[in-house]
Amino acid sequence: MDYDTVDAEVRELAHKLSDPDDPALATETARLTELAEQIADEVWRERALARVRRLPDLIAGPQTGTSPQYDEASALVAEALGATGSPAERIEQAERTAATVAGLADQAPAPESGTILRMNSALARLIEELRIEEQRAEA
Amino acid sequence: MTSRKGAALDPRSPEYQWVARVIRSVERRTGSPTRWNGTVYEEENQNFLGAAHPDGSMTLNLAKVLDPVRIAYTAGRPLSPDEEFRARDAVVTVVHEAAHLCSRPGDEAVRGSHPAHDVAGRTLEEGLIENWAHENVDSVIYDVGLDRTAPGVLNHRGTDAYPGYSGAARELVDGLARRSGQLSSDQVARQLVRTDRSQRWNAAADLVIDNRFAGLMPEEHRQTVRHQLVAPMRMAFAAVQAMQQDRSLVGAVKRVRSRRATISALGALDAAVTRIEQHYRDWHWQQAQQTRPDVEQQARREQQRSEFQPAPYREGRKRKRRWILPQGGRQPAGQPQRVPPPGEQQTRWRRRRG
Repeated sequence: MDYDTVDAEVRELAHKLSDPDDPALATETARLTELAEQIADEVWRERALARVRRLPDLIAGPQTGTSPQYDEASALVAEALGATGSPAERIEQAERTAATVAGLADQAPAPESGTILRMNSALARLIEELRIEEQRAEA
Repeated sequence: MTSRKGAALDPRSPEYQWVARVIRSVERRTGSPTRWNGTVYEEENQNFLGAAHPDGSMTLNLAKVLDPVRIAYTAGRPLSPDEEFRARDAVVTVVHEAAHLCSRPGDEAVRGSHPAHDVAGRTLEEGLIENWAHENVDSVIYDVGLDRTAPGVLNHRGTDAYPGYSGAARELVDGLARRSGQLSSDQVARQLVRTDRSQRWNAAADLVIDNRFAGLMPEEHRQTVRHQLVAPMRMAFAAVQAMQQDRSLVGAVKRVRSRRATISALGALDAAVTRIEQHYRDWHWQQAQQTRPDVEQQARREQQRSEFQPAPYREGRKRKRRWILPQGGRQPAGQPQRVPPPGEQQTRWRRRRG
C-alpha cells in the first residue's frame, strides 16, 4: 500500500459522493483509514491518514469568496475573457480590468485577496494570446 | 500593462529549485510532461501573481508568491494562520500555472479541431485547471515537504477563483467518467488536462463514442459523430461564461447554476447518443434483413423494387442522382452497402426532397 493508491481512492470518492453529509462517508472513511494504516513508511502513512480526513473538504470543493470585491472581480474578469472586438481593443480592456482587479484585491478581506489577484493570471494568458493573434494578422 | 518578465531566477537558488520541484510533482500527478522550458522569471507587474507563458516559461511574483513560501520553510517558528494561508495560496498559484503547461494550444487547422481560445475553450481550460489544482494541492505540498516545516498549511481550505468555470468542469468530468464506462473522474480529468486544447472537446466526445458505438460506427464517421456530441457541451460552456460575468449572482450560485447547465448539456448529449445509436442499429437491422434467405422476404423485396423510384433530378445542380427508399425499404441491388453517417437529413435512408 502507498500514498498514491489511497489518494486515488480519496479523490474518486470525492467525485462520487456529492454531499459531505452522505451517510456512506463514515463507512468509506473507515475503509480508507484502514488502507492508509497499512502504509509502511511512517511519514507517508501520516500523510495518507491526513488525506482521508480531508475527504469532506474535497467533496465540498474549494470555497467561493463572499466579499463584494470577489464578486465584482469575478464578473469583470469574465467580461474581459468573453469580450469581442479587435485584438487591440480586447487587450486594452483586459489590461484595464487587470488593474481594477488588483485594486479590488487590495481592498478585499485578507483570505480572499490572493484568490482575487490570481484571477488576473487568466487575463495575462488572454493578453499574450491576443498579441500572438495580432502578430499573425500583421504577418 | 500585463504580466512582465523581470530577472530570471538563478537555477541554483532555493526559490527556483522549489518551483522546479512543484512542477515535477504536477507532471507526476497529471501523468504528463509539461511544456516548462526551465525558466522562471520574477513577475515585475504587481497586478499579477504569475502566469504560464506560451514560450513555456513562468513568471512568479516574489513578494506575493515566493516570499510566503520562503517564510514557511525558514521561519523556524510556528506560522501565524495568515502566513499559513498565504503559503498555501502560493502553492495553489504555482500548481495552477504549472498545470496550464500540461497542454498545448494544438493545431486549429486540423480538420474537426475547435478554437483553443474561444469562450467555451477558455471556460473549460480554466475550470479544469482550477479544479485539478485544488484537488491535488495537498499532495503537491507533501511532495515538496512543505508539511514538514509548516504543517498548518494543511488546515486551510482554498478559495475558488472561477466558481462558474470549475463547477461546470467538475460536472463535465464526472458525467464523462460515467459515460465512458471504464474511466474514473480523476482519469478523465487528467486526460483532458493534458490533451491539446484544440482537440479537447473531441477527446471528451471520444470517451462516449468508444464506449457506446464500438462495433456499430464506421471509423470514418467519427468526425461527424463527434460534432453532434460536442455541440451541446460547447454550447453549455459558452453559457457558463455568461453566468460567470453575471453581477446578480454570487460565487456559490454561479457554481450551482453552471453545474446545472452542464447536467442539462449532458442530457442533450445522451439524447444525441440515443439517436445515433438507433441510426446504426436500424442500418444493421436492415442489412441483416436484406441477407435473410426468406421466400416471403424475397417477394417483399420484389415488391419494393417495383415501388422504387429515383429521386427527381433537379436542373442546375450538379449532383449525383440519389435514391429515395420508401420507409422500411432497402437499397437497390448494385448500390454500395455503406452505412450513412448519422444526421437529421439521412435517418432511415430517406433524404429530404428539395
